[in-house]
Amino acid sequence: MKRTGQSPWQSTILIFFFISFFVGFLLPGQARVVREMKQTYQNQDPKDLIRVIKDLQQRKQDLLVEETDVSQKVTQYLRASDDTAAQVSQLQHEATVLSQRTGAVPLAGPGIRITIREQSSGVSPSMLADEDLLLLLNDLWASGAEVISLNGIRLSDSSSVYRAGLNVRVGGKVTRMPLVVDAIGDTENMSKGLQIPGGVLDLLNLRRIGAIVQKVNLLRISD
Amino acid sequence: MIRRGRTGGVFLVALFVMVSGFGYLLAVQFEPTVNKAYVVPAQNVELVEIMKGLESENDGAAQRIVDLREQLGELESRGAATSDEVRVLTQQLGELRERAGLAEATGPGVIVTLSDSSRTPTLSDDPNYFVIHDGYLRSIVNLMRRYGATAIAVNDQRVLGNSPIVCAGPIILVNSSRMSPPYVITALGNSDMLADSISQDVFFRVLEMYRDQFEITCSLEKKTSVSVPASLDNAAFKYAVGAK
Repeated sequence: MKRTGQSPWQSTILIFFFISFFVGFLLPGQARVVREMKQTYQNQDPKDLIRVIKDLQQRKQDLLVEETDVSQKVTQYLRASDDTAAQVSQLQHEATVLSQRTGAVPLAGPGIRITIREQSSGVSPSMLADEDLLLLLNDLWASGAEVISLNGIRLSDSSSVYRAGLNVRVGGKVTRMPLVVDAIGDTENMSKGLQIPGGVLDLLNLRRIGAIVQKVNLLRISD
Repeated sequence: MIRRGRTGGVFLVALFVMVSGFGYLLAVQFEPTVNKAYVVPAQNVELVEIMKGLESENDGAAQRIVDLREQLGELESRGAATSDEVRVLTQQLGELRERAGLAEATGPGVIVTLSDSSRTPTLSDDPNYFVIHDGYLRSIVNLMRRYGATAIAVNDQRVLGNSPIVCAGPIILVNSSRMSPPYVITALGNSDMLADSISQDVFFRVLEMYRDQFEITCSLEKKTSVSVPASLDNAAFKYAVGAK
């Protein structure tokens, strides 16, 4: 006898088929949503976004300074197109600025001095790690340092800084602990930047590494 | 009859599981969208708009600086043709600009690429191992300097000695500019020495271990020619002056 209608069995298979189809259909969509949620900045902590905005505003100011400076140089050069003495003067001025930047001349200015001491006594002596030092230097640059020296060795664009046993290597030179970090720049901002709760000074303190910060009216950093 | 009853029961259970799974997926599918209104503060929309606006302005300013520098370079070249003194000074200035990172640099080098893991951490995983931290970039840059890099860039940003690499939550900023993964760290220098030394360094090996275990991206390539952009920072100091 031939059955005319669908059996419950066939209906179940049909439902099963449709559900499987929809599950398969939705899975890629779900993966996409999750990926987009990760990528969108609208889901981030507002505090982080505000920090980014402040940095971007600072960047805007920095770029404006450079744009204005180059624009003025162009104008001056156009004005002095027939005046060799004026051109020489302009070129010499920029050469002086760049010599200061590249470390060719000693510099002086207000800044802060950080003296870092490891604890050599006790059951487990503390030791300054490469990452601690890089973080300290990074926080100084980020908060307005213009020139930095470690035990009198000036950092350049190519200076690496790392521990080599008990020594600290700064570029091609070797120095030892305790480490005196001199930074010329925005004294107030650098001081605040280092003392942010949970910042590098707290980290050093937790690791039982002493760090004393002093404001200095006039620091001198040689090449 | 009995057999069909049992099989039907199994299918009913399967159907239940499937329907539950379907419901779960639907819930998860719509949950982020629905929750967005509650979890994401309304101010974030505005903050993101401000952030993107500033980035657009900064991109415009960066392009204007590049154009102005090009114009200045042309004027200086023309001036150099008129006098020996100007020519010598212009040449010296060119070298100083290169040393100060104010000129684009091209040559042999290496590229290290880092990126967050594409794998979602499970509840038992520490999510910190699945993302690239600002400290990783600082350490790689430091390694590159240690092994002789003469010029370095992270994505489109030239990294000088005073370039801060910081983070704001999951966002990494280089030169106060927001970076997006992958983080491509380019270094000019002796490519053989850079590649050999970096690949053997303990820190890089740790990153490779994270790559194998947590599926972050970590690669090192030798290149016959790489380019790093010029720094767009102003060279003049505000606080430091020449000491006598």
